[in-house]
Amino acid sequence: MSEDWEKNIEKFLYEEHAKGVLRSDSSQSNNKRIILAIAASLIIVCAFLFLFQTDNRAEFISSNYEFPEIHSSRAAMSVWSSKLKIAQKDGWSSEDLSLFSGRLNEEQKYYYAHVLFALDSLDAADNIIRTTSWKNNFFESDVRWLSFLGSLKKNDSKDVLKEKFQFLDQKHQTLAHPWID
Amino acid sequence: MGGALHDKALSSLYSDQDLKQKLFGLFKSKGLGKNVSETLWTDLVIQFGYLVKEGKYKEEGKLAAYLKNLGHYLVLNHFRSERKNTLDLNAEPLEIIQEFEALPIFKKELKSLLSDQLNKLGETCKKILLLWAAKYSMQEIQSQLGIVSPEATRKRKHSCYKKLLSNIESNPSIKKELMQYL
Repeated sequence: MSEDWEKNIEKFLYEEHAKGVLRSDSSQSNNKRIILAIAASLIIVCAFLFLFQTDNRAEFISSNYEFPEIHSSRAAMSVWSSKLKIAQKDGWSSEDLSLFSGRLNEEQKYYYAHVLFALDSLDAADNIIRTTSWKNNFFESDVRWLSFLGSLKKNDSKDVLKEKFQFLDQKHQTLAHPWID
Repeated sequence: MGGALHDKALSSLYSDQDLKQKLFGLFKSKGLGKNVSETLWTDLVIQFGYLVKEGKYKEEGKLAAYLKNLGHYLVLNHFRSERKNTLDLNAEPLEIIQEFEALPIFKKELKSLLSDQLNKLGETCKKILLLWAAKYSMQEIQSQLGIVSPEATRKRKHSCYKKLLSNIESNPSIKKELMQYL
């Protein structure tokens, strides 16, 4: 009889132990669930913020630094140049400046990259050129462009830039553009 | 199988969502709510662990079917303790329930009284006894609790257990409750 009675005590002790094991599991599992939920929420928030910011910045550049019609692209470069100067002053990084290029065609990218070169946004220009089909012959065919662009200064006024681009137009009317086969 | 390995198996069973859902289906079919089902699921895993520890679970047939039968028994026990209508459960084949008739399921009141007695022994004594009851070896208990040697652990276990039995024996109401499960 005493043995059975003791057996019941042992059973109670076992149950208490097992309860502790399962409670600890449950608590760990809950903690994991909470951590995962927090991590998932943070990822969603970050992804949302990133997408929102990316889209917002691209949208902002698109609406504020609108690229003019391509047939007047050289003249447009002066406008772009001055606008992008403002963009730089506004704190747009190289990444921001290259972001918008995803919306440009090959020809537009060509001009856009040059303007960025002129504004010393070399990283942004480089990022854009890398995405183009003409990236391999850019530097060969554009020596003249680059030498001209070297004369552009960050603090050039809009009128000075316009004058320089008009000069470029006169001098390089027949310039072969790399995107034209 | 005892000790840490047994606990690992218990945890694994407890986190088996497939089995849990099957048992929850059974509990729900008996009109039990989510909270009671959670409690019964925990009880079921603990009782199954005890049966395994005692070598009373024979690995014959499917585990899910065995656990379902154990679930039936626990539901019946739940209704008995709650003094509710057990008509639906009586429709179950009796031999399934008989399989577990010798398994004592202690009432909350008794568990609470025993817990009080256990807590009176002090934290180390309590831990030693719980690990011992789960078939941890003296070396494992010694290592977990930082006791000097397995021999010292054995002596402490003996002294703690003796004290617990003595306390319970000197408490007629607890002993009377315990006797009901013999």
